[in-house]
Amino acid sequence: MKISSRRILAVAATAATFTLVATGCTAGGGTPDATTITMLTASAAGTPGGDVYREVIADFEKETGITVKLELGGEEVPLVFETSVAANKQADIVNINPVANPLSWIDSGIVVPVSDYLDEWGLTDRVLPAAIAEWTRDSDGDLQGFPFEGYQWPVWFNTALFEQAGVDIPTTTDELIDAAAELRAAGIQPFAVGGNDWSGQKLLLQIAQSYLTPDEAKEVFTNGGWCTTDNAMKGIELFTELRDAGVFIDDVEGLEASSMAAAFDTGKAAMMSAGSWEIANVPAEMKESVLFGGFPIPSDGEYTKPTSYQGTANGFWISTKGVEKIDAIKQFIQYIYSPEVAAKFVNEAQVITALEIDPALIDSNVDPLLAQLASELPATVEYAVHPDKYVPGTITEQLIRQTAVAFGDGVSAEDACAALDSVYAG
Amino acid sequence: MTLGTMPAAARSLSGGAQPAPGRNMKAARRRRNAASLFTLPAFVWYIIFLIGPLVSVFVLSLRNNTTLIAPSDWVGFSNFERVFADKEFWAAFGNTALQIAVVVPVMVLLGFMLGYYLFLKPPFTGALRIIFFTSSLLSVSTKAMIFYALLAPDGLVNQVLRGVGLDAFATSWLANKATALPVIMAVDLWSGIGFLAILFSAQLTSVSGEVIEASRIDGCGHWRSMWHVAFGMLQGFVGVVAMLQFLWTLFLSATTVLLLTKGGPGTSSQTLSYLIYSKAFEQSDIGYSQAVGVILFITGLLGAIGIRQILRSRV
Repeated sequence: MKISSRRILAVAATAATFTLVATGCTAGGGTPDATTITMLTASAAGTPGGDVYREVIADFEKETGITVKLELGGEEVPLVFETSVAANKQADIVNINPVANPLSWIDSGIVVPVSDYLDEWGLTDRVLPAAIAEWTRDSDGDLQGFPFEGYQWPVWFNTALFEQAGVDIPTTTDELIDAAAELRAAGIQPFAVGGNDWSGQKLLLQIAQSYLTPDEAKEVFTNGGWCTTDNAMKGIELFTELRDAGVFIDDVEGLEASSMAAAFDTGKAAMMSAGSWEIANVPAEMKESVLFGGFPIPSDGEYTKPTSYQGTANGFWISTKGVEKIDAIKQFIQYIYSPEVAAKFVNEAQVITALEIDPALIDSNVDPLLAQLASELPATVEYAVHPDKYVPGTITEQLIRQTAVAFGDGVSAEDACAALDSVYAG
Repeated sequence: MTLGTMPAAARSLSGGAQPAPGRNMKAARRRRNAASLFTLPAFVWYIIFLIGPLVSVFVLSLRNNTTLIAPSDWVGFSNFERVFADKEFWAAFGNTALQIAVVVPVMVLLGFMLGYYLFLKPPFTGALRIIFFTSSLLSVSTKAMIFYALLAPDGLVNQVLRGVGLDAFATSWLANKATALPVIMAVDLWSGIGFLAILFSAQLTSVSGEVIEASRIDGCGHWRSMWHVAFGMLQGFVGVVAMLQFLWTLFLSATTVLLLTKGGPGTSSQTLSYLIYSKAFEQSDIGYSQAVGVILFITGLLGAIGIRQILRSRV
């Protein structure tokens, strides 16, 4: 029997197509399982927050019969999510903060606004108004996701090292320069920060706005103009003055946030600028020596108290695909936001939440550092403008690379401001 | 060569019964079709996974995608206009040019010299081969970890410098504008020279030992034998290796940059291949990123052709 080549090709093509279909090699498809939801998160098991998430989810599954599958995205959650969208394999919920790429997700149609859900699910009164404001888009008033975690970002002082050097906690930049000299004379490194990553960028922009009003700071963060805005230049000159006076730890330009925390937690450095998420990593024997405060201010600056940052961190975003399982997601979000569950995150993971929490639900033996942050810090500081909401997400990484330049030895204020402005020029 | 693909003249010389021309052609066509059928999977694979992405690079360079999933429009050549007007691109271009100008010749020449040394079978040749090849067996991440441990502010290099009283030379090697790019180049050289030495020594075994011996009898020292005899006989192979090294350096430096310096401080260690990554994944500017991808592709193509022309074998 003769079989033509064309027929063989046709049969092979049909077989190949059948094989692809039979083995499920099709894009997406299928009816979603309404009793299983997936959440992409950076919270790994073994971390305080990650462990509480897993306990809470196990309780939720037992109570409702709904399964919650966690997908880990490490430090690249936005990238992992966007890639998974391209493959139509995205999670139903994304657990991430409203910075950089996620700010464009509603416009890209890959997550949905949750303004209506917040009201319908009875959560509006549970979330702090400031958190709702931070998660609401200026352009159209859409709420991008459910705020959940919050943070304070103070300066950490090791009082034992200050006592050892015989100096007081500084509240002005002149006092800071004197204190740094005294600390160095006592063999103690002064101020630890990661000059080569985001932690250095946040500190530089905190110092650089010392002479700016909040509105001026927002304008410069958004559009640049560091060299041409007189008060921004004064702030950068203040930064270089502090750097040249030896305020920062040796080799600061090559350090990253992990090195900063290690230097402080091991008692090598007397100060650092870090968020409340670092509380869980402080050695128990050091906790009594930690005092939170703000970054010292210049006597002629815009602020009257030392400055600190605060804001919201990870919350819950609902993907467009997740809307297909909105009833299950509703139950999950309501469960997480219930007073007892939210309090569990405070008590066991030392997380500051963006929610109203009944003080009666907070354990009396909650971490003393967390209590200090909540009860004492707000009275001693003024809150500076957090750059992450105003620096366009598309230039964040470039700006970090340029702020690293400013930590280098001998870099002038003019060169530092030019480096910052170069990012906005494109 | 099968009978079906033999020229008619050759077939007539092969003797034996001559099949009818019509039947013979049909049989040949059937065999060709059958061969096509068996190569079909590889061909489809090639089209989907190699040609497809290549075409997509050109397509995306003409669109204004912020991310792969964002809505986008055709924008003509405006991405290229933005690229050529951008100081960051020219900084990356300059860094890449310097990296290639240093890494490719140094690596090829040192690799050839070490390869020639191995060819001479010095004592402990086997051990030397293993040592030279070891750097090729390490993943990029492992190499980055090694160099990070060496060059961190409190790393081994600075400890040694401070230990011998050379504190003034200790620096943040990975975060100093003057040293970040040289470090990237040093990592390339460290990991590549040994591998090239193994390649060259293997290729040198094809050179007749009598030729080298004759040159020695004629009074050539090792230096002249190496460059005037061995190098000349391997010039075509050196051209291929130089071309490949050029392409590897041009296209693959992003991983080392990402793991060690992230292109900083400032743009001091930014290379074109890292710029493609940075624009696509950090700055949500796929259109710009792929425009640089097209420029890099054309640069790679022209550079590879140029190197082959200069170093093609004349033997």
